[in-house]
Amino acid sequence: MASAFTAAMDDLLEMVTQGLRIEHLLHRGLEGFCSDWAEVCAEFFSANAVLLAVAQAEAKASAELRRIFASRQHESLGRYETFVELGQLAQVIRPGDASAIAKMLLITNQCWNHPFLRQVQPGDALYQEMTQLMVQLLAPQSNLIKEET
Amino acid sequence: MKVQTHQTFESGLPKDDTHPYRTGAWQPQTTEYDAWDLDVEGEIPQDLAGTYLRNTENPLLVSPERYHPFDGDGMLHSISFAGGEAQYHNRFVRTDGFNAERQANAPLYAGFTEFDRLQTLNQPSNINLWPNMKDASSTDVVVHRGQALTSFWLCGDLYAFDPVTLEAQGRADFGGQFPKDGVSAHTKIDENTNEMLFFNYGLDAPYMHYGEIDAQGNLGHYRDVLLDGPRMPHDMAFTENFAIVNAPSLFFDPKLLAAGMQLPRFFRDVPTRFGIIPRRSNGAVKWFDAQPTFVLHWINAFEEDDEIVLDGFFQEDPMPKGDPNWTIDQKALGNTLDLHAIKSYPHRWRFNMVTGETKEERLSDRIQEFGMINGRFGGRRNRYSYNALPCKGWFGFEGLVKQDLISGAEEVVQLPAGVFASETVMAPRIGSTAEDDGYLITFTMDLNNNRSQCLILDAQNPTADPLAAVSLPERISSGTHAFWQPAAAH
Repeated sequence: MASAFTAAMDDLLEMVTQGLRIEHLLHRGLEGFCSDWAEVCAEFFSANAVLLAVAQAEAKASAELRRIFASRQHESLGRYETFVELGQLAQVIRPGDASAIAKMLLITNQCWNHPFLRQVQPGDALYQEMTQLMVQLLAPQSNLIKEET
Repeated sequence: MKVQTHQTFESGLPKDDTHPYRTGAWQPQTTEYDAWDLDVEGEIPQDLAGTYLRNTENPLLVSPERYHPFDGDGMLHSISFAGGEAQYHNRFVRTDGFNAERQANAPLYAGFTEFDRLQTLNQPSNINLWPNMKDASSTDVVVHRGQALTSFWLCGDLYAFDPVTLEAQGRADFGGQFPKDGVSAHTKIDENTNEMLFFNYGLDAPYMHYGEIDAQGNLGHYRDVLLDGPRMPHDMAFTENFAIVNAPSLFFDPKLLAAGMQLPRFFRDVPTRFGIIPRRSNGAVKWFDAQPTFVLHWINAFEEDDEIVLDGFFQEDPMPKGDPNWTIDQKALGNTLDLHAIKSYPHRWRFNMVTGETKEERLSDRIQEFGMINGRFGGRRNRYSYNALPCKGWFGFEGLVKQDLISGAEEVVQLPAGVFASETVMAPRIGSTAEDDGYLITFTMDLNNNRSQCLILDAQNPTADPLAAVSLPERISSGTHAFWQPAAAH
């Protein structure tokens, strides 16, 4: 179990590294970027749903699984923070506490592991709501909390 | 008109193309022509002798995902006048990138506004500043020592042609000393000394070099110019004794650059710096601070008592936000091409070489750019400039302005709706001595009649009807720069 979970978490980290690139956000624009990112997230969590559910169930009793999750999440959060910080510098992500925005983005992305979202297709209303949620979270003109940087 | 087809290329552009910079005034050509006995409305003046060269952005293939007009392949046009007759030629600039893409029959290079360049393509390129971009040599053209030399908007190679026939003559190599960082978009020809002045810039210290090609074609002088960091100025100027370079306030964000991202930003609190470099010497560069801006093009510079006087186009808003409802594609084009949004005004800088003081003044409240002068006055005090009148909302010229820098008077030539001008040169009349005694020459893109003409105007009375309108074989694409080469200098 631990090796399978490690492999999945490594895939997730690679997905974050490759997907959360500011060049891609600049190139595609926020709507296009969020749409691409939603697709990647949906695909990952759909493919790994069973493994993640089992790992979650076993995690209480397994220090190793908890350690694997904690270390990969820590690395992943670092990638999120870099993405948000660079996006703020490039003025394509709203000003504000980069660490908090990064955590919020990570939490939002973990929603794709919810059973409701594992069933949806790109054209579905719920899928589009999720994409728009991410757009609103990041948009420079967003009405969410701003803090001059 | 006698017309021969030199070569026709297959276009890889969509048949139902709607891109604003591949249609209308920017519709590219696919055919190269040689033409004589051109049809003329009016009369070509007998005392007009020389060649008008025009470089255009003329794509044969789309960029991988997002096309910007600066990505277009270079197509060079020349029209030569002698004895009241004219001949015309046009040729693609067969750059390494052009040839590679023709061979592959597919786009191999990322475009200017394709930010995800490193992920999409990894075709090697000679552009040192921006990875994976094609050196299209589509921006400027000058003539030095009898060769027309085309250049790219960043730093790249110079491709050489016979200025009249446009027979390709390879690449400039400066006697085997062509700089590894390339040559910037705009070189300067000093008609009085037959020298060519240039600069280049890069990501590594000293970040800029300045060079001089002597009248024999050798790299006579090449020196480091140390800047505060990587900058990307576009143009330079010169006087009789000095070259003028600048470090604009629009440059790559250092923090993003440290993360491997080359994204220019306008830093409103960072002065634009001007370096005054003694020509033909290793003397110290004298630096001046001025209002933050970005200047695409200079008009001219000259020495006056203790001062260096520099005229150019000051941008009030080099990175306009644009319409919030723009799509990412519209934003990528609008931010870089609308000279009205950028707010580009004729402007004068005065640098006091004794006190170190900088003085600035706006020369006109009319949006203008792409200024040309009588080339004999390059680096010397001039009175007149001939500037393009930009269209609003997109990149094109709806006319031109003759500006009197002493009286402040402006004469505006407004073309009919649907007719657009090229960069307009001033061709001195044979035997003339007065600065504005000559002709203004431009190519039109006439969408109403689906044609291009070469207009010849009286420079002393530009608002009068054209002296001649010479038909070209086909409507050409719009582009950026042009050059006048007097016949005697060929």
